[in-house]
Amino acid sequence: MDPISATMRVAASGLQAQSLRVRMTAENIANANSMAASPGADPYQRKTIVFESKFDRALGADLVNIKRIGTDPSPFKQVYNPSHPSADADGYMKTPNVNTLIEMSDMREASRSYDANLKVIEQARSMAANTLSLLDSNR
Amino acid sequence: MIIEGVGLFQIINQRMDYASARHSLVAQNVAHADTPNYRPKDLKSFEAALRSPSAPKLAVTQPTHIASGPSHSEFSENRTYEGWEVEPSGNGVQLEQEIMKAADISRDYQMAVTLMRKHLTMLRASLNTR
Repeated sequence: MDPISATMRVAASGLQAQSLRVRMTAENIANANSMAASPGADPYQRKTIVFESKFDRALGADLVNIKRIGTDPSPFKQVYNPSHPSADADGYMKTPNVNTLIEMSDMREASRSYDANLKVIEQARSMAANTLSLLDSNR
Repeated sequence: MIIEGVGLFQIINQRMDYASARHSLVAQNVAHADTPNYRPKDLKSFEAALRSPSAPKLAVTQPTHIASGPSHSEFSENRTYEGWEVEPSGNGVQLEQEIMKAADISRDYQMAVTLMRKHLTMLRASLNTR
């Protein structure tokens, strides 16, 4: 495969990975207040995403691959709220280990990387268009 | 004159190949801007690529044959790390640096294409088929 198509494919894999990352942060933010269903049970656990590079033989390039979607093992916060349905016998309930500030900065980083990948695609396209314009005999 | 022209085409061709191969590496770096333990890749300079003969490759005569290394191996990779810093995750990609490199490459490519067009115009002029 020619390098310009390979460039497009690699950048597309970057876009895919980053958009999945944005989706994960969206899930985390959306579930920042999702408490447990039954008293004393665990609430929503923050999701994490891990990337890895994977060599694509046909392409001759490293693509971005999602290694795994895991959960954040950090402890839940305990909040005293005896009136809540998910509070345990002592009146404490666990709240999700989601920090919206961290999620927002993560999302910002993902969107920055997404933009960079888009830029690369744009450049590859203009390079290909340049080459094709050589066929245009009127120029 | 034609022969000289053809030689020139060859080198412009190589320059375009070099630029697109390098651009593909930049794309990989940008795509892996957040991959743990990823070190950015780059090619050796074009001058170095011209001076050193390309490494021998295994012939691929059947579709089931395994190609020797990455497809752009006619230009050797620069193995020394020339990034600005490595993040705690072990990732060495700096987006700013990569975008600067991409802009350079894009300009190089544009230059090669413009040269190619000029020479085509000259050839066409000599054929008098404008």
